[in-house]
Amino acid sequence: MRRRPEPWLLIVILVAGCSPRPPECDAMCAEALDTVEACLDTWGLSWGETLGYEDPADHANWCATFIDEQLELATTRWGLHDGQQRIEATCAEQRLLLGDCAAYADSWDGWESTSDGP
Amino acid sequence: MPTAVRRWLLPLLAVVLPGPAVAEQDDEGGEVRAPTETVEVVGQRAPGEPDPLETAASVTVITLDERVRASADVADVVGAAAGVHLQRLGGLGDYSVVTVRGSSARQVEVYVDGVPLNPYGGTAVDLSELPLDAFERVEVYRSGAPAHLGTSAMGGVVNLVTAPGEVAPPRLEMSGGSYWTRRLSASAGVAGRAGAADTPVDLLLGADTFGTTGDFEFFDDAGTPYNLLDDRTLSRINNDKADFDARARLRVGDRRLRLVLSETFHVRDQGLPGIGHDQAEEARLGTLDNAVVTSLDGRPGATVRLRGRVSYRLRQERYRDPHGELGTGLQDSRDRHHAAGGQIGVRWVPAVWTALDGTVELRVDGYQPVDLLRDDSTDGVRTRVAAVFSLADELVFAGERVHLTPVLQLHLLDNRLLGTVPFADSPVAPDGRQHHAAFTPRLGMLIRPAPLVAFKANVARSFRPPDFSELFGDRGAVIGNTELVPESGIAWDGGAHLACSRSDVLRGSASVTYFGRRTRNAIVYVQNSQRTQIPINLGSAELHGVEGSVDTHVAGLLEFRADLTWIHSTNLDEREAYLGNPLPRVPTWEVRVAAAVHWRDHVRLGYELSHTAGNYWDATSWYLAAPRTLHGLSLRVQPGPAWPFLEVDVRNLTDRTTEAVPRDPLNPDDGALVVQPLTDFVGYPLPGRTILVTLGGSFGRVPGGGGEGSDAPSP
Repeated sequence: MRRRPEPWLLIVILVAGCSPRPPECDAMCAEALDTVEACLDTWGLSWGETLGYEDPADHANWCATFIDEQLELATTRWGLHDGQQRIEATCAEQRLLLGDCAAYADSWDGWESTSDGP
Repeated sequence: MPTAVRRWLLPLLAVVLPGPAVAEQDDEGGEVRAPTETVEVVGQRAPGEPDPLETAASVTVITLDERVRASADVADVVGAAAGVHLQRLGGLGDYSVVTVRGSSARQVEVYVDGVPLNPYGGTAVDLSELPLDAFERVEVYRSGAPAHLGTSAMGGVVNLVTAPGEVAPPRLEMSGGSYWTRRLSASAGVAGRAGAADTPVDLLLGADTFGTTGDFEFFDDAGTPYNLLDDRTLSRINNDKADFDARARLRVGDRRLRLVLSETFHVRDQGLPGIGHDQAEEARLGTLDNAVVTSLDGRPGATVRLRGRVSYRLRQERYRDPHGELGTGLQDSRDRHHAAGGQIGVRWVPAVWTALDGTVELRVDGYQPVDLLRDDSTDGVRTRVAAVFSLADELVFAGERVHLTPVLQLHLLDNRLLGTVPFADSPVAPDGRQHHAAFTPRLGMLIRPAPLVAFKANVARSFRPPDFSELFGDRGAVIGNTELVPESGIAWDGGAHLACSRSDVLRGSASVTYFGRRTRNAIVYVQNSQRTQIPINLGSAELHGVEGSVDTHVAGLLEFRADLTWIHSTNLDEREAYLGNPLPRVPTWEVRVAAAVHWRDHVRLGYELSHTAGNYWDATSWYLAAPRTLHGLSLRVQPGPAWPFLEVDVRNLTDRTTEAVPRDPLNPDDGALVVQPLTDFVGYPLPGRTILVTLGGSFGRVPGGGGEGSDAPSP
């Protein structure tokens, strides 16, 4: 999975067609983690019991992986520029959906459309 | 002759003059001509190096000099040749094998200085175990391998050549980089003369160490490609390697009579991580490999060369899987493989138009698996005695414009199991003995209408006998089958080779070859009970393709090399799910590009590209890998010839570790995609960007040799 490139290689990587993770998505992942932690408190649960994340680091790992995966799919389907813009916009929309424990799981369903065909 | 005239006229004459009619190949010191030959030097090839303009073989020769990036291993170098497909189970140091022109990995035979590492394709050679610094040259034969190798490999032959010429000055190289990868390589030698006869003697010593944690990050879909909510980025665990190689070679004598004693030792300890989404934490493999070779080469007359060789190799593998993480149960085994061989050969050049070469080789292989978890731990010993008789001729006609190379080879094999046959109480248990005889003729033809143009054609029969597991089974899940007949095939190719010039200003060559092969009786495993499977002769396949290569050097400033391979393969297996499909792991397209810019010998900037497309991973064509393009970059700086060099290599520059593929490969029209890790083999991810820094160089002169080496003329 793509990782954030070292600064000195950024230009080379961009020229070669690699797409770094949009900042909007990093922010979304941070908010998603806050939401999950709050929900676990609300539900009286702890990490590793029901949601499928071992700990906060595991959630952060999943979210970053998920975004990278979506970027791969979107840039394959729509090209580098359009694919990144779509994912960035989707991350922004997702941020608006976070915060509600009841809707947390369902809020990720919309992402599945990225991998579906036209 | 004035210096300027010598500098320009002699290379020009070397280009224009026709080559020798029949040259006696010399592994160490160039070529000994036929009696009437007077031309002294042709071209700029290293001693013993095959010349594409003078051999009918489809061969790629890679000289291991500064043009090869410092981070490369043997697999990288071999895998860059046209027609070759490299398969890795990870990064540097991980299991690496090659296939040639759509063959399987076991159909490629690997030799070190003519000594086989996997005779008859008994195993696939893991190229990651071989230290690149031990060799000076790699020869990849896609057809027309030299008869004295005694091979009838169905795929091709990789011959790794150690220092054939004079002893080089002491050399030291150190590398370090990503995933705590480190490598240290050193070699030194002495040369001199001994005895009343003032006999040339040289000794070469070398050692290499390699280590890595191999803990690169990779994308893990948890084995659920349809579910994106359980995906993670994980680190490879239990993927460490620790390697040590040592080698020594003593040469006594000169071209008239030379004795060579060589010893190579290799030991490795490594973790076996298994597949990505279910990594093994404690499975390990320890390997010890020791080989001793003694060869004698003599020229009793101007037209006769005699050679003899004996070799012994011991390989021991200790495999431990204490928790059954990789296999179907706990395993602790120690397998020993002994290989002894002897060869005598004669090459006779009775006339300028013919050179006869006869070789007789005897090989004895023994394999003894020991299950350390059982009380009766000694299993039966498998043995194979093989005799190979080869007779070849090099015929030259039509004013040296037509070369014919017929080769006749006869293989006699006797396979035995000394002990209790596994599954002896089963009605399908194999016998304890089996014989094979195979006749594998081949013919190569080269037509050279002009000094720098050659048209080539080859046709050959080839075979791979069943290995010990296929014949006699094992104590696990394989029931042997002594009714098996060897896999066999007929391969052919035809093409052209063009050399642009041989001067220092502009050198270049281009070649294009059409090839084909039909394979019969491929051995495949079929399940015959819930717990066991049995090998049978079932598969057939045919393929054809085109490979092209361009190699250009401009004024010592610019280098460009490109190799392209296109293969169309068809599985003729009778099973409906396979019939008509492409062969698994035989990519349709492979492109390799290497370019470099120099500033004198001080700075070198290199770029490499690798593109693979049309690669199905399974026989049912369910997994189709997405087209893959990987880039590499290297920068080498050496202030002067006496200075050490510093090289920075970046592999997988764009950090590409995933690819988007159709979610349902059998129905790609629905347009749905999923992400999967970049891999050569399902479950074994490849690493992302890898950076290695190497510092090294040659220092001083050869003690006692004065840089002249042992090939200096005798008084």
